Amino acid sequence: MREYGWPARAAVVLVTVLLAGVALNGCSAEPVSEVTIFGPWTDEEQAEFEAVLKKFEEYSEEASEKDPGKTPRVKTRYEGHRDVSQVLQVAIERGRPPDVVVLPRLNDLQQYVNAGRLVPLTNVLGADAAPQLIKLAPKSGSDGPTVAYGVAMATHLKSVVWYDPAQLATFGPQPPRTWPELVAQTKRRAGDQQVRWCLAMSSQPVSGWPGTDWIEDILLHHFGQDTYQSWTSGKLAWTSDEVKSSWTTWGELLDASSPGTDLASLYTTLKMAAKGLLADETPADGTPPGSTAARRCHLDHQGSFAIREYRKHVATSPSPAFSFFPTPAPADKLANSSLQEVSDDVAAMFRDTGPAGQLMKYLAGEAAQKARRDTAAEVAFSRRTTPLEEYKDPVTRAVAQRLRTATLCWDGSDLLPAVMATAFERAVMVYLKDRSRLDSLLAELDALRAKVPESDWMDLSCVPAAKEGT
Amino acid sequence: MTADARTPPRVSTTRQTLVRLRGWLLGFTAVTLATSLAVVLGVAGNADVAEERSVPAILASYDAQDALRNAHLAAVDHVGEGGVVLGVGGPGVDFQRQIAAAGQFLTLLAENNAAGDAGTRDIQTIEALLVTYTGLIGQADARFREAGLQALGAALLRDAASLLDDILVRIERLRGKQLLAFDDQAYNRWTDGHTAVVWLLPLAALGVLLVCAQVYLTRRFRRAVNVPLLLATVAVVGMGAGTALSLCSAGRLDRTRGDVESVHKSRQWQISDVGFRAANGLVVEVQTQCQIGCEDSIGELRLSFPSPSPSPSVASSGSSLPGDAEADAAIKAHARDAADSRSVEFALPLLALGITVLVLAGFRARLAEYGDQST
Repeated sequence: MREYGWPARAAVVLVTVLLAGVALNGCSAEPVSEVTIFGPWTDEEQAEFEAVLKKFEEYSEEASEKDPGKTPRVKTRYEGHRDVSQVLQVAIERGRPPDVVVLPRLNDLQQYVNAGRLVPLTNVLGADAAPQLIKLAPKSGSDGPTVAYGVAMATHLKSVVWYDPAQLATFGPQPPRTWPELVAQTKRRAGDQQVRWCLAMSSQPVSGWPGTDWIEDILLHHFGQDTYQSWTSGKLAWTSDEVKSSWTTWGELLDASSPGTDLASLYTTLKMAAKGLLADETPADGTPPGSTAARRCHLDHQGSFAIREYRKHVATSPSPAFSFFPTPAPADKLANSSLQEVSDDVAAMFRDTGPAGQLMKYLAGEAAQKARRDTAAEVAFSRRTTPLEEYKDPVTRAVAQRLRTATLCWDGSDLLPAVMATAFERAVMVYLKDRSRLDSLLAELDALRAKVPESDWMDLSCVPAAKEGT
Repeated sequence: MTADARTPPRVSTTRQTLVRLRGWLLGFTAVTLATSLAVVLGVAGNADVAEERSVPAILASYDAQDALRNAHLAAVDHVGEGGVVLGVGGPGVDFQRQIAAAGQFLTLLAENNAAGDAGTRDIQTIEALLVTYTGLIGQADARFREAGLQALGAALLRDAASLLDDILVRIERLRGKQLLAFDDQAYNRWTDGHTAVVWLLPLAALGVLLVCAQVYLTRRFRRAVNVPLLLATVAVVGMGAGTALSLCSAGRLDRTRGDVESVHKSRQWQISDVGFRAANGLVVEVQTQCQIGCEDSIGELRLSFPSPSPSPSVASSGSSLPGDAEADAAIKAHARDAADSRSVEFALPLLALGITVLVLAGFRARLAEYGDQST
């Protein structure tokens, strides 16, 4: 037998060790797939959603261990953008769309359905997802059937006015039940101070949307569901009596508030409004009462997401340090009180991959909603009929209760085509500065409405709240 | 068959020793070339990427932030002076010039992005937000032109300022990723001091072998010096010197990293100062437009940009300063210096080839004296 020198032996040993290392590495590394998600949540909301995604990753890891051949382990990468629509548009133009996106505007979803960019979820989701599904049909080219394209991840109650129960006497003996009562209480003086609305229009990425919520809410409660739907689908003119009346009704309410409310609102952020509403409370960080800003306002028309901000200014939680009443209807139309404006953050799938489908299935289920409630200290609502006992805080429980007893109508601005919604927001800002321009503003909005293609409008109807067991 | 016929022919032990010694020398030359070349190419490759991509990307990120802050200041200043934001002449043009410059710096950053896919995604997002920002400024301009709606112009400027803060934070994070990439290039297994063992050991072994060969040949053949082997020993020293230059390159990369850190403070101060002046201008504008109920908004605007502490080394006007240009030039020069391999990657194979030839030449005459005969 031929004898080899030590360099040859060393080389053989080295190659063997290297091959063994590669083989072991291959055995130990399970296949991992990454899912990219774009969404509108930043800062603490981003942290909360990432905690939900973390739960999904754990769930995926368990599933992968049980079924190593078929189910890959999924990692998620979330990017939060306040202007997610713009960022998504650029990503699509560059050919790098995310796998999944959470859109705050339903009309964006419709446009992507029209363009054939979204993956139908029919074969992805189970029956458990039904309450959260958003079903749409393409409105351009050949009309197709109505198919589930979106999952309503987060639902926000909007037709509500927040107040501090301890300050109730400032504006009335009890929360107003009708619109005239609301106006009367706004006018009421208490210790030489008029009741001031916590009006805040300054917001990213666009200012003015809290004002659009006001006008939509008034239109809905003063003129009912059919008129509202006619307007959101582009059939009712901006110059119509109903729409114009909604603007002027809001203007009259603002006139009843303390002087300067409207102009100051142009520079006021939602955070400042929350601070103004609850400034006398002991902040959660233990700072003594009154050490922040003085109380500047008493009523705040804001979505249920405002709870997160209010809690930063109250001493204890859960505690009814703040509460809400529904936007009141006119005395002769109290039936409209059951109508609620809501907005949804909707998840949709841009790329048809198995891991993205797994994530969508998870987001459409109760497990994801529970994870949201746990990480967001219950400031997480959905269209599911979650048992009210799941909400320990009386305020969050009341919101959840409201969401299941009312007829839910989508936020009008979210249904309007983007160009129309943007013009609406700008018109609100102009109206707050100069009421005399209302007629020209409405005429401009109508001119724009006429230019928007039919396929850009949405015709989603209000829906009764989900019943127990659905 | 006789006994003599069965005995294998005797091989000269001296010849055997000479052949083995020559073999070892050639083998070690090959190993030395491989290790030295690997280290030199490893360091040079990283230094090249650092010089050509990471450093320009890092500097472009500062320049983009600087241009954006100055663009916003130009917009606010012009409003304060009673003009419109985008109007022809004066700061209106300055706004457009600064925005164009920011766009160019972002393009430069994208071209040199060393942070991979994550960096590309960040740039994509920043560009998208920049479109929204310039849109807000455009709207503000339109409102300032319209009688009675200047208050809306100020509100839009405020929104734009808030969005700009978001954009600048994203650029800051992107710079962090470029710095991490730079750190990977400057501090890795090739630039690690311990890696010197990888190339120094074979080199030293080759040198020792050459000396041993020299001593053996001197004793065995009673010759004063084997000149080819002596020259080969000198070439080994040359290889060592050439490879040692990689340590210098690593040091220069480290110095470049230090330069980047030292320029960070002055750049940040400068950006904060411009931000402070823009915020002050906006406060004045909001105060003018809103006399009732805006105390909180104004207070928040003031808090968003506290006055930066005075910095004697940085002037308080304009964008990029002469000092910045010099600092940038110094960083680029150090990076260039680090990336300059001084053609060592070509010299090493030539030296190794020379050693091989000299070793073969050094042994040729002695082996020829023996042929297959015994001593």
